[in-house]
Amino acid sequence: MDTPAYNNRLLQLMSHDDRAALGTLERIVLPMKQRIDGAEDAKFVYFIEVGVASVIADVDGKMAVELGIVGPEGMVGLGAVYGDSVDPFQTVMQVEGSAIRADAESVRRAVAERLELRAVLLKFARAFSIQVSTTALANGRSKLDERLARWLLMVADRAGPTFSITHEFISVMLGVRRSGVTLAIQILEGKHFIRATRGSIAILDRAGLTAAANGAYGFAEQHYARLLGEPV
Amino acid sequence: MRYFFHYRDAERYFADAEGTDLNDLETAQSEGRLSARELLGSERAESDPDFLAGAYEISDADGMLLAVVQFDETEPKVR
Repeated sequence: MDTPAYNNRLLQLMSHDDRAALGTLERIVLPMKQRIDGAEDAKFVYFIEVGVASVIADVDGKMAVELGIVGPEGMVGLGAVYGDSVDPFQTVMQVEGSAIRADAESVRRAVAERLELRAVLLKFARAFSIQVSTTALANGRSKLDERLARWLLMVADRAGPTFSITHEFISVMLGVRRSGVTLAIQILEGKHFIRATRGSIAILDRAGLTAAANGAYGFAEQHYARLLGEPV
Repeated sequence: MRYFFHYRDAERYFADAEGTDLNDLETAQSEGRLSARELLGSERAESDPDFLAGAYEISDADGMLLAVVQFDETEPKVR
């Protein structure tokens, strides 16, 4: 077969012809902290193969909080699916990796012309909006340690069980004080759910961590599986 | 200056090895109170009693104790 192996769920779900309609697909390396949103002029769409991107609402540099995260289960640049060329939010690589990059204009055109392609990408758009909704729910109703457990599970789903991350970065993403993140990490570590070393975290007990999330983790993931199947 | 927020209750002690750069001790105490509120959440009855009775011991980089912030003396988070 001439089908190249892509480590991205959406590309895997597309037919060969639909993938070809996306135009030139370029595999690119994405270092940590790399911005991959298009701001005023979204030129590219990214199908992530390795790593994790954070979608961050940052209004005039004053209020920043993470809205959602994307890894090999999804894409960055959903504006192209909606026919929009402006990206209102920042997207930054929080765990380094790589992606298949496509031209946003080609994707917009392909989505307008191809029914099955549109269906796959709209299903992801739906799954992502459900994820963002559960982030809003967690931010409003869950305690810091529950939100931390949810966030660690979501990153591990996309990056694997061990990843590099600082307490400071987690505190910015969750919109809370760094001191509370350091304490909550030590409490989870005391329960043997995670192992934290300077600058990195390893998930040891997914079930324990899921229980610690107290309902904040799992809902969005079930809906993703319903819409798109089990992610890679 | 760098301030460290160590946690202590009847059962546990967790040292803060990271620290946070803040302007002065007053800001550090305010930071400690806000952090405690975030940890306790809006439903305090659901928090474990040890945690609610816990405190941040704020120190400098040399470990000198500068202030104590009791978790149960912070205002509940407004919904």
